[in-house]
Amino acid sequence: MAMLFCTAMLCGCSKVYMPPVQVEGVHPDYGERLRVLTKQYVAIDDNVTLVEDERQSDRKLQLQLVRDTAGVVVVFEMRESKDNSLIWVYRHIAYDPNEFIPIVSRVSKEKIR
Amino acid sequence: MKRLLLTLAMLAGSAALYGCATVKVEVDDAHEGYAIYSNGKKVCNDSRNCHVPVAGGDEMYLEAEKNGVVYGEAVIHRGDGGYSTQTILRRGTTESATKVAVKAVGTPMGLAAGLLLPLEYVTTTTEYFPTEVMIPVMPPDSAVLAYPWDQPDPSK
Repeated sequence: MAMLFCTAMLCGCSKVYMPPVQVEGVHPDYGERLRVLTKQYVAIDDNVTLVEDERQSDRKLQLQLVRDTAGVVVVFEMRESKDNSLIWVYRHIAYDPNEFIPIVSRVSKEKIR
Repeated sequence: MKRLLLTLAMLAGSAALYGCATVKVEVDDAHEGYAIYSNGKKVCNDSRNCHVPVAGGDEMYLEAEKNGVVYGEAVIHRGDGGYSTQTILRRGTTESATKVAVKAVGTPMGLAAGLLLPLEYVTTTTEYFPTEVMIPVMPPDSAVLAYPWDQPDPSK
């Protein structure tokens, strides 16, 4: 138990909470697909731990899918949990759901950590 | 002495070339301009007239953005004596646009090292860059017409 505690202290991991994906003009299935994918990619990163309870989190990652003329805009919005202040936002167009993977991969590596 | 002068002349030439080495970056949308980012920094307001200074390091990550939304990207990977260009999301015309290369000295450190090393070393530290990169931002025709985002995901 003490060892686990020490590991958690030394890790310095950022605890991130992901609420359900918000969708506008897009079927919720794609929101779920984006959420599952993002969780998988974030889980690879040792510096970030996903938590299920918002009260235990340091930051909140809100995902959105917004229908656009030619595709959907995938929005990643990171906020501080304590005061909801915006840390960063990243928007990327996706013309079909297969484009989620490279977008999520990039954001996970370069932004979320 | 002659060799030293030749080395210095070569270095001065390389430095001048490094200072002005640029990559012409375009998008495949003929109608609109996009802001271009290189390694996260905005380098052009309009892709219709964009010459991006060659960045140091092994990679140039180029993004095309319009109204706060990224529409496409391309990456230039640099290696020993060569480069490759890769588009991330869609196939574009980038592959055919990267045949011509310009020479530039890799890093200022390379220049400093070159001062102390023979001419042969200076030439081997020279790296290559594409002169032009096309970032695909337009949707594939079939996707625009076909993808039904408001319908359930058929892969579920």
